[in-house]
Amino acid sequence: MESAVLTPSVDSRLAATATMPWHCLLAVVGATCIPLGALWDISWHSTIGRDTFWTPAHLTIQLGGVMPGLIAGWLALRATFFGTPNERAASVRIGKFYAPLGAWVIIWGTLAMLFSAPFDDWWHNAYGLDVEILSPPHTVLAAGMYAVAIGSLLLVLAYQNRSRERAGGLLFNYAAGVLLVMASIIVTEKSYPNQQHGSFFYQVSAAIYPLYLVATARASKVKWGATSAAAVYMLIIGMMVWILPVFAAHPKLAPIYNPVDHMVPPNFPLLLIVPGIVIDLLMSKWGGEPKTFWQETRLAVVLGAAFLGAFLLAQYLFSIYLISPTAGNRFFAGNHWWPYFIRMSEFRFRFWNLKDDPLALGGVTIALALAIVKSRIALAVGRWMSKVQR
Amino acid sequence: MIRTFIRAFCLLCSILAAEAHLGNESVFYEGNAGPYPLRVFIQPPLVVPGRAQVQVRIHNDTAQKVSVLPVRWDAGRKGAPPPDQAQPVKGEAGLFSTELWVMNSGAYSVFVDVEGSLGRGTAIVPFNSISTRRLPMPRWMGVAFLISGSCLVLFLVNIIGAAVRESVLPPAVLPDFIRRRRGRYGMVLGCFLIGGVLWKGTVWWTAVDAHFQKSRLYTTLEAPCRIQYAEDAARLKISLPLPDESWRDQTPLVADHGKLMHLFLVSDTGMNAFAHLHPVRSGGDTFETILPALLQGSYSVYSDINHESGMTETLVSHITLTTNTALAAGSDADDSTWLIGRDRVVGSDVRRGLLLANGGTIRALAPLTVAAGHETILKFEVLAQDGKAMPLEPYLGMWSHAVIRSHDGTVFTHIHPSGTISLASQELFARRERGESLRSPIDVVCGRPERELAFPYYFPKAGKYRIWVQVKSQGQVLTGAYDIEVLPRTG
Repeated sequence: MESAVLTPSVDSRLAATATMPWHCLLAVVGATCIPLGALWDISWHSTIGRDTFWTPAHLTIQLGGVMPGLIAGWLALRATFFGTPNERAASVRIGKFYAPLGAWVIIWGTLAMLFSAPFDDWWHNAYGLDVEILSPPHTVLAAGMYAVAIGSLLLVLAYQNRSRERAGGLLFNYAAGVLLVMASIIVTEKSYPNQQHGSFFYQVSAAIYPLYLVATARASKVKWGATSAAAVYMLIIGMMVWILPVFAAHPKLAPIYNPVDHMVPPNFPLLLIVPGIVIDLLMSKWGGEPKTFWQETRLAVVLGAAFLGAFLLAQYLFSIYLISPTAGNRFFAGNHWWPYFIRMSEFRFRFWNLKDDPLALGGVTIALALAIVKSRIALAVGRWMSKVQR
Repeated sequence: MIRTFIRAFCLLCSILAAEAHLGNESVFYEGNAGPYPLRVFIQPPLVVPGRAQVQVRIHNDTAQKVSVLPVRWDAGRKGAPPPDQAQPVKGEAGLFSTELWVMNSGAYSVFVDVEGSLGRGTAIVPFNSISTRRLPMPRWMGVAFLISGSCLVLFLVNIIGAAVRESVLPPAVLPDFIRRRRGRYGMVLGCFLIGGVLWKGTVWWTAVDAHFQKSRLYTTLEAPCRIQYAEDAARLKISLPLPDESWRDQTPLVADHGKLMHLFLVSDTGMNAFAHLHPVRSGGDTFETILPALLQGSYSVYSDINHESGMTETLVSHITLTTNTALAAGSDADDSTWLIGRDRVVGSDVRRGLLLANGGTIRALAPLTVAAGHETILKFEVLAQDGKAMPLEPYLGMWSHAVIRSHDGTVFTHIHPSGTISLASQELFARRERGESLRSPIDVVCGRPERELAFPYYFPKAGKYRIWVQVKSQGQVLTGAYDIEVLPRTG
């Protein structure tokens, strides 16, 4: 039951905006800078190695934090101190301050990114310069970046759900694709093509991607939400695969075991568009309006199994090509992604660790369970997302 | 609850104080890069990966361009990036400086390329790339992180509450009691979730720190040591420790000046006895030597070894002599000792000179006062009884040796006029570049000094130090010792 009191001075219909607000567009553009900068930065560390605070990749990431952060800060200040009743009515309140939910999340993300900077500096001095991608301060930074992207998505969601404009739905699908790119970056080290014949890769994938694809399919007000998000993901990664190697660059750190002479690209994107299409088809048939808990759970079982089946089939076969010498071309960039500090040998052309991590029934069952659980969570999250108004 | 949280956070933030590898990893090289006499000073990073500070001083001030290159032993110059150009230091003629990124642990060298009016030349300066400390987190920083982290957590909990309470309501609709209650439940749940994430982060941080200590933080190895007494002599047996950590250097030992091991004994009783010995391998990883005449008591043992990679290590041990020992036949001809006594005093006024066993003197020329943290050149002259310069011979390939030990025992260094580097390591790097065998004997003899002996050094901290200076003349190794008070860092 949702009994609520209407504020007397505001007509709720007035709060719905017909044209897309500028802050939604700018926030999403800013959020896009984050994964672009992160991919660029990984390439920088794989190619050149040496960096400063002011490398273009770092500046791109910072732009991705600062621009949405300033926009969100402005939204909060405007709604709190200069806002019209309509603006306040479309906000959520924290203390005495008002802002759209997405703005609050963006502000938190920007602050977390700022907080991570001195933490990371201390960490470098204590444990060495960027020994691993995943470290506690980098995780704080990643949480901040995630929050900025999620906040941007929430801003768009509120607009989509209030206006019902097709543009809102399209922008939401795009923002979901940006989030998908960020999720994939986090698990880069678990997703190399040479790992794609082992169970662990599919467990990691099942634990992550259904959440985004299924939630997008449910929350999007335009068709093919999961497919669109997967396409955006593949396009963003693909652009980096094709553009980065255009630029000549050389390592500036020793030892150099692999003398690269161009910017190292990321791996070719995962074929998430395949499970994306399957999920959209299933959702269009059975997704509909949320029903009972058990109906939703049955749907999650179907979606999880469909995701894993489609993704496993597509990626298992595709990875055979990706690690072969024939994939060493500009489009697929197979075997072009090795950083300067890796000694090259025949291990590039074989799958790794198959003895300890085979694609066996036990491992696949775990992956299936993860896909189902994540699909169920995604249905619930998607349901909430489809109702976000502020 | 709050106290527990603060304690957990502080535990997260606190890092134990670090212990340096025998107190000083700074590297000096005094030599030549082709036609250019130079002195190279390297301050390796305390944590690897990190940045090394490099200073190059060209003595004849004819260099126009100085570039430096970090070269790892197993990658060679072909596995190195383009060199970094060192920049001239304003106001210091002939001085260039830069910093180098050092990404891996192990044996490294800096290739210093000098160009100028005299042509081109290269000097190779080996150094150990190792992590030697854990950086403690300053208290103010821990408090700042605690406050700002807590603010972030509180903010996030409030966002969760607001999201549950209001986000799905149409504009202008106020949340009712049920929604407000749900919001509070959301905040409580959020607290648990965030608490779980923080706990997981603490576990992770602890694991990273443990891994750093176990697998990356270099600790001086202790070499098991024992004394075997016989009728005519006391035999010292020392075993190489065999750590199973793969990250440590596992390459075989190479001889430096014909010796696989240079062992120093320093009496713990006022440092009143000192010996420079050369145990020989008696099988496997055990080395042994016959002890020279030494007084009974406890001794600190420092054993210098050189790996084929170019990595040098100093092993530490401790022994106790239960009786006085007497030199017996069979000791290495290059062994030497110094005992405090009537005619061998620790110099209190080094300007007067230190009396040597053959009646000569070693006189310190400069500096007479030293500050920690500064490049220091310890200069001596060796005079015969008639006051003229004593004719010297190379001792273990060097015209002189100096051993520096702080009175508290935390700093120990064995240096030469060529600096702190191992000439064997330098030669190994050079041979690898030339593609030559590493196994043939390494006999590098330093250039003959002018009238004075000069040792470049960098005292890492203030305090009292003893310096033993060793030279060889007419087949006899002569040792002089004096104490020096190093002042705290300035500037």
